[in-house]
Amino acid sequence: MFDVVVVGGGIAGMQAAVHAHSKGASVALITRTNPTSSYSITIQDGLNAALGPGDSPEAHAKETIHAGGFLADQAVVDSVCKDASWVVEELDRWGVPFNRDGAAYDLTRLPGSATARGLIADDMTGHVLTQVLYEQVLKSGIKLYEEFVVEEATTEGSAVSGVVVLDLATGRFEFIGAKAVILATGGPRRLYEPSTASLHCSGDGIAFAYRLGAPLVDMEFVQYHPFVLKNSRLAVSEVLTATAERVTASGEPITEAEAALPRAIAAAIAGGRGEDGCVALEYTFDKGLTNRFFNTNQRVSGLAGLKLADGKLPVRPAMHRLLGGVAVNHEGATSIGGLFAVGECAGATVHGAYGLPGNFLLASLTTARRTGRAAADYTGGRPYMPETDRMADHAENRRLNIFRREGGPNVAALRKELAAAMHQHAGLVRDATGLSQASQTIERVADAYKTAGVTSRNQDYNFGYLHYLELGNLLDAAQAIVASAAARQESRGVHYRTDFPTADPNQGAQHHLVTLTSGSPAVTQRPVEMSRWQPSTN
Amino acid sequence: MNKYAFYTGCVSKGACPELYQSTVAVAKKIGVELVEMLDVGCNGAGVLTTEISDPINARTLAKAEQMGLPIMTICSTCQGVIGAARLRLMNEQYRTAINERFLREEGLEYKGTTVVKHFLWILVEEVGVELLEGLVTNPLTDVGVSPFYGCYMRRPDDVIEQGGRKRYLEQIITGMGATNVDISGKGKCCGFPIAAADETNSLAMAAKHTGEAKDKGADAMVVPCPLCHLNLDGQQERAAASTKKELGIPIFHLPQLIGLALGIDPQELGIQRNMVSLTPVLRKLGMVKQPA
Amino acid sequence: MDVTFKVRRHDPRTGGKPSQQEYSVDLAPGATVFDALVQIREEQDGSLGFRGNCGRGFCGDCVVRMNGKLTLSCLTPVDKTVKDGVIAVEPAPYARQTKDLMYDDQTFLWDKYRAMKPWLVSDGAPAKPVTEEAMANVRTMMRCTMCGLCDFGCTVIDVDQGFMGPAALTKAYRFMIDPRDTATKERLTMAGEPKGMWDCVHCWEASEHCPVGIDPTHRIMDMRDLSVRHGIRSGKQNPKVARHYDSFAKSVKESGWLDEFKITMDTEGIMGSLRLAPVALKALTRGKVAVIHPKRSGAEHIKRIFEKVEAEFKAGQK
Repeated sequence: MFDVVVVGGGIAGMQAAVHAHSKGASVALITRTNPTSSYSITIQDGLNAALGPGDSPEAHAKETIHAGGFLADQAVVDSVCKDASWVVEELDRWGVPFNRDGAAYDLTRLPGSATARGLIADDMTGHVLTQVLYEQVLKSGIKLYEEFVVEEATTEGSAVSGVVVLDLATGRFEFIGAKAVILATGGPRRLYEPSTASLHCSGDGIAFAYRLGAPLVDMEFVQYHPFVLKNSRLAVSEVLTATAERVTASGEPITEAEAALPRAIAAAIAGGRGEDGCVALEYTFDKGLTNRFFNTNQRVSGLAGLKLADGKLPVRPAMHRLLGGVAVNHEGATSIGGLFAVGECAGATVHGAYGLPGNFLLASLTTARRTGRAAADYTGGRPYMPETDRMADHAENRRLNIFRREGGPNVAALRKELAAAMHQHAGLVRDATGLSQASQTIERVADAYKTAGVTSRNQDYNFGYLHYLELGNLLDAAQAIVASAAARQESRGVHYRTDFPTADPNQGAQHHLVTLTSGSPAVTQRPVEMSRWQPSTN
Repeated sequence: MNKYAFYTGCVSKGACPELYQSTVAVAKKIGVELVEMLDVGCNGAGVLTTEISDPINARTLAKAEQMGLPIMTICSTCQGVIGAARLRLMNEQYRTAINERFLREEGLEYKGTTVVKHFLWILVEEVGVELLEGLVTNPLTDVGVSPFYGCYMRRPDDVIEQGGRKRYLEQIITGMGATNVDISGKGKCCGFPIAAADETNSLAMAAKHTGEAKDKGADAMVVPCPLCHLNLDGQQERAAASTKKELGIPIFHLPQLIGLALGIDPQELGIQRNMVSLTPVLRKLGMVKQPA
Repeated sequence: MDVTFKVRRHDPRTGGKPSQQEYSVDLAPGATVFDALVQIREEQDGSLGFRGNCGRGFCGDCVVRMNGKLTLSCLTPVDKTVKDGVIAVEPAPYARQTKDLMYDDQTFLWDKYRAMKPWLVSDGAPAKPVTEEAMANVRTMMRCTMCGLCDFGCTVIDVDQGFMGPAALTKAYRFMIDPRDTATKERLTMAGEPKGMWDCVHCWEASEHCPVGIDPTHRIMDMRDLSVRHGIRSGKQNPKVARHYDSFAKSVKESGWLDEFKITMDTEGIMGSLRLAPVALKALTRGKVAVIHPKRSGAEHIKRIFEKVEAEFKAGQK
């Protein structure tokens, strides 16, 4: 029994856990891998904060809202940009060694921004932040469940009651009671191929909330990274690409930027202008900055046998981030009592239709800080739900049934089919026909999933069963993405419809919410909060 | 004629006098002239802090520079520690600071030109294995010898400078007519550096490496480092006792092995001073008639 | 590309014996060994145990031995490793195996890491100015992914898994060089206890094994230097090490050279020396330690260097 259970040990999850703990809550943190091995560690862009001379949170907010095609909720963006200085001050106090210029922070101008406001820790900002947050988790004595998989979040009445977990090492199911549950599972990257996914990026939290009836928001916005190293998942660090001079396909420069850049690269490759399915990313490599790019250089060398100093890398776009997620309010609360969401699985409506590099870490850290504290407050004075093993027994039985299946479709093959369809029809370029095909593929895969078997029936470290669970969660997210994308009959930010290639101001004033209704996704609308800037006034 | 500033290190003048005497004997035999450096100090052996050892080593390097000679070491640790200091002192700013703060007072200045080489490197690179082979009068036929480098003759790469140097001992072993008996632990630590801090582990390391050589059928091991010798030879009996394993494998100092093959009198090579008797090897070579 | 993987399987929980299982996979171009293992597990055998998540060198969880070579499987391309169409995959050495290629990383690595008080301790203002130079050094330390390769290469861990090991010690050092941390002396004492930094043989294996250039052996040596500079020299439970250092330094300071006999006496004390007496006696009879270093010319200059640096240390400690 804990006041607060955090599901997911990435940057957002640990930040929420530490802050909930700081408000006096008893906290448990559940992680599928080692806490220092989450997807967060691969984040190589930076952390935006308006700390430079002449910069201001207002300027930062304005740029964020513009970049996001005016689909971000403006008061939320405002508070995220304002909270940046708090978060940075705190991280520095905890030991993050941000790059400095003398004694002041050395701010990097990340791509898409007119201002240098990216704090970086060389090319490993995510890795460094993860380590420091893990240190704080250890310091605070938060209970860690490492290599535990959450199978479901549970409710009693209208409020959350805890989570059912699977201990990977033993194969045992367990119910962990909680007054509040914070979902911090990250996004469903493995729904797409190619992508920058880590092995376990299945965005489970989105599915948990969706299945409990909570609405998802902005699910149609799927952002691709323009520069992912050939044959790999490595997104080339924005700290490096900030110096990129040009992207060429067969020697011809590609000049599009931001949300349009991955589409343009993909079009060039599809048009036969690529080489081995890649274009060339050309940049000036400053030898004085060799240390800054130590990690990238080592990875590029290990993965592709290339040297960063050569000033040229073969890259192609790959799915990188889902901009939407579980709809939450200003304090991370979902529509279900005691259920909160942070980080990439949360639809905090900060990014709108396109997320700027450097804003992802900022949004995660600021909203998780607020949410952790709010969740702790929520638990105050509330009684614990009665302890029950009913849910764990239910999960055990479910697994038994699946283990009994003989033959049946292969989980990996189903995921591959799904990921290929999502990339082709619900990726960079969409239209009604494609989305309907994606929908059919999802239905077919979901149907096959009902009889799919697992290749392994062992108790301990049964990754086959884990992948089975992950596919179920991915299917829910896929359904919501496609429904949301079909409903938005315009083009905005990363959502590009060939059948509706321009922006429609009326649709642009609405978020799409997807709610599971009688087994199907129902799409409704919610007005975008535009209290400060209007698209027309700029 | 090859001529060197001979940095003896402490141990060859203390607990391993046989290393000093065998080095001098072999050098004479192969025409390497040694000018012993007398007014220099211990390099710190990785024990003293670099703040103290770097000036001491700068002083040593400056003395050799004055003599116009490269330094020859006969100890892996001396080689590694002076070699690393030499690398740091390549940095002009650092070198100038050390010169100003420590060496100027006695009228010395290190200009950064001294070369430091272990005897093993000199033998292979400057004397040449072929020349040595030509001098062999008493080939160590059928004697299985395991090489053991000690850490500082294998790592770090920037101090070792040439990867080939990690295979020199094997060349000497076969060049002297012996059989190379390879062991996986040849580049690992002998355990000497922690004899004080953790004797159990120190002895365990000695036991492991000597045990491996023994298990692989070696008649002896050869080391280019007196500290390795102290642990593998000097402590072998205790190492054996601590692991309850019978060891009893003789350990050659590098020049003892060469000297024996070049026909130098074993007494002159100080083999009677080795703690684990070399008699079985001599017997195998027919140099001792009666069984012990 | 068709490749056969011969993977060592072992599930100690079910009491089974280690075995080798063959898997054939058709791999995409550029696939790494980690990619291949993932493909095997997802498509063929969900019971295959191995760790690893990021697939790009950041999580440090995927270290295995591949055709003999021990390193991160995610940065090891299959086409550069395969021999005659086969890659043999075995678990990392030393640590207790938990399942197939997985080992008990908690005992082997993380418990030691956690014992180092691995978080910034501050009693207010930074002890020293926070400069880019200082932060750059901290960042180099923070490249560490806890992949464990330094510990797997460690010659001390080879004989004693109780040794704190380079990974944990480097973690301790990361805070010592951070001007914002004010617990350096406490950390030095902690790292100086038995099985800590003074148990390191400085054989440079850790540095050779570290894939991210932290150079852990150097860092342990730096930490020992720092310890001496602070006048700490060793942990509270480790007085022998302090005696050894003091005697060593005294010998060089006074004569320019080491006197092994004196150092042994000083370090071990009477009782310890008695323990070593049989060896010493045998050595004496063989004439091994006949030469006691005479005080040589040049000794006064060595002493001068000592005095100068020691005075600076003293001033720094105030």
